[in-house]
Amino acid sequence: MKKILSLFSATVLLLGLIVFSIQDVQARFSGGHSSSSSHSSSSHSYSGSSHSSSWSSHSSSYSSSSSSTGNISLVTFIILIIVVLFIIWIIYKNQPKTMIIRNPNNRFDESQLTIFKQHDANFSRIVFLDFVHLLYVKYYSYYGKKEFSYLTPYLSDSVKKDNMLDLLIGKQVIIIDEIVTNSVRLYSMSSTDTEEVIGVEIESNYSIHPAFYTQDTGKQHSRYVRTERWFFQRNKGLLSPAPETMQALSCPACGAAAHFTDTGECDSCRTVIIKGQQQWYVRDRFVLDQTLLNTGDLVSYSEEQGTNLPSLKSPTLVQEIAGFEKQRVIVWSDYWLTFKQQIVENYFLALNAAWTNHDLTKVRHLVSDRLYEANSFWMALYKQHQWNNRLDDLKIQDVSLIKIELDTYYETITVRIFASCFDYTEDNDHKIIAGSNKKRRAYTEYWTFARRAGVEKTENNFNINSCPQCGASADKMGQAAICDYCGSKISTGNFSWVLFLITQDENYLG
Amino acid sequence: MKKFTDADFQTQLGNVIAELEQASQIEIVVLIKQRSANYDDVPMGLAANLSLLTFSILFFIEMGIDDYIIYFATLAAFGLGLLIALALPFVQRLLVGKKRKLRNVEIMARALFQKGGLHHTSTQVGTLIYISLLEKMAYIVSDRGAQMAIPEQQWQIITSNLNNIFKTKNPPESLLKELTKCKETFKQYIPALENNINELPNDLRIDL
Ligand SMILES: [Zn+2]
Ligand SMILES: [Zn+2]
Repeated sequence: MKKILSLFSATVLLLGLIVFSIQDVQARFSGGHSSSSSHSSSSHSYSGSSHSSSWSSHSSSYSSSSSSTGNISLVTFIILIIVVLFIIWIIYKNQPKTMIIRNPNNRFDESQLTIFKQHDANFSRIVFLDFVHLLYVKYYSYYGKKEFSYLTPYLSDSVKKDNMLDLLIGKQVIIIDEIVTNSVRLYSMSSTDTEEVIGVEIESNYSIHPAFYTQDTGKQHSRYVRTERWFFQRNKGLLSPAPETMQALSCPACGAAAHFTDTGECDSCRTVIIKGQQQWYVRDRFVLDQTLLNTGDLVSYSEEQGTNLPSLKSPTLVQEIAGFEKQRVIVWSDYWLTFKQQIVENYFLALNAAWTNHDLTKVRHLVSDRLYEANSFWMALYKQHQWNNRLDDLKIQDVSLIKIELDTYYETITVRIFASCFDYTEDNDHKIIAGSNKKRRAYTEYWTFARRAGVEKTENNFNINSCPQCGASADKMGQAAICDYCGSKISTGNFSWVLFLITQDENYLG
Repeated sequence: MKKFTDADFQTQLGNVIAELEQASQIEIVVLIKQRSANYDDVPMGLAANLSLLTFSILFFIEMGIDDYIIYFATLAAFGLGLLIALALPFVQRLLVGKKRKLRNVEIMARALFQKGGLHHTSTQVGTLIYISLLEKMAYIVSDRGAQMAIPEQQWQIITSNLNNIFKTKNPPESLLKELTKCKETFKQYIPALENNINELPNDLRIDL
């Protein structure tokens, strides 16, 4: 701003000087007309000042055409100013802005997954990402503790030892807790003759306390957001284990939850586990970014960025629909209508109502564990600041199908939901801190629903308020989404659709 | 009164840093620079403004002033403005907005951190304390390990204390005092281990 101002003044000055010298010519040119001027020499400066005196006094003498010279120079002056402003505008318009040039192939190439599944028919994105999430959370929760040896078969030697964590956790400088993953997504898939590698990008946030943290020094904690890339490796030609095994993080040989020695010998079956022989292990991890979580961002409402972006429909959507029709023996158009109403719209309204009412217990069974954890965390954060985020008069404008993914264990359907509501955040005294309860905010989100393959319940008689397994009221699901009446774990999608992922439109990459 | 450039001060500063690093695992590098940016446009801007002002006054007053006087007075005002802003740093400090100064100091601090390789300690505890004299600002860049080891509130207190040294009569002396105070904080949160190897040279010279 300062720069523009000084540049502007400098140019105006220059302009003034130019006008000044030009006036010489003009005065001569119109000298005959302005006979009133008593100064015959140096009339330019005089006529200029006389003109301006009438101008600045705002008297009507200006219109009395005391000097046509004044008029002409004034017009020239204004025109020149406009020209200069225009030039300045052109210069500043073309100022380079920060440009981010990224490899366009950097977004995950879905065809890699298709190729991958040809070798490993049991591979399931959902199961794998859950496995990553579990390992990630346990890595940080167990680091420096005895339990860390549970993870030995899953970590390479370099990942097992982190100098910074050794100092901070090992030497009891800090405690890391409340780890929440915001997103876990596939980043790359590649293979050599002998190995397969999957890269994953993980965005999480977590709390840090000084190790001598006590209730008295309770304020001393900071929350960080961090992005990491983890690379998983295994030998080529393996078949992925069943979801239950993937979720157990147990001994790949005997299946027991066991401690391992440093050389990787299982405490239970005495097998020395060779990494990558049966299961994925973390070969490398890179921290891309670590910043302080700015809670102020929660209540700073920026314009919706991606609302008008085109929907990133899967390029092979037609085949995906055909595959789904075949697997489920249904007619897609009929199925879609039911799915849209019974699942998408119902879930969307119920989950948002739960969010607005600060009570996720009623919808616990509708979401995956990871999503529940993340949302509980954000809700607690709002509560801590005594902020109430309300989504009033929520209306769904449209739901469009984006992608269907089928694998041995799961079927997932991703949709884009177009909705609008009065989105605002108020404090406990109902004072609005951010957003508006007068201006409707339109937005879109990508929602991914998952269900265990082969579940034969029809969506028609589905009721979001009851347990999909036993039909009892879904009021006793607890934190873990285990129905108190029948003991079934619901949030794995074993009995009905579970909301697995919410992605903001500007972040959705397909 | 001490100066930042005094050899005596620099020895003392070196000693304080050595003490700091003996007490804590944090690795400190202190860098003091005359300025974080050139602000070339400030003298020009001041000159242009002064000159325009002079010109306007002479042009618009009703007395008949000789053309030559208007012309040369305008030029003289330009020269005067240029001279004042070039010769007197405090004029630059006053004329540059706080936001811009802060931004330049931050950019310089981060660049020095990278160029100086402060992120190359194995435990990621490198910390740069950067003092920019013209702007009268201090900025701390700490690596991930150091960032996490010491709570954010403490970092903020340290930063604001360091910024306040410029409000005292003897900033170099105050800097030494504040750094000595840091020692207690660092020691409390991340005390030194037995074999504390200093991975970063204390007298780092970085040219950008
Ligand atoms: Zn075993
Ligand atoms: Zn049940």
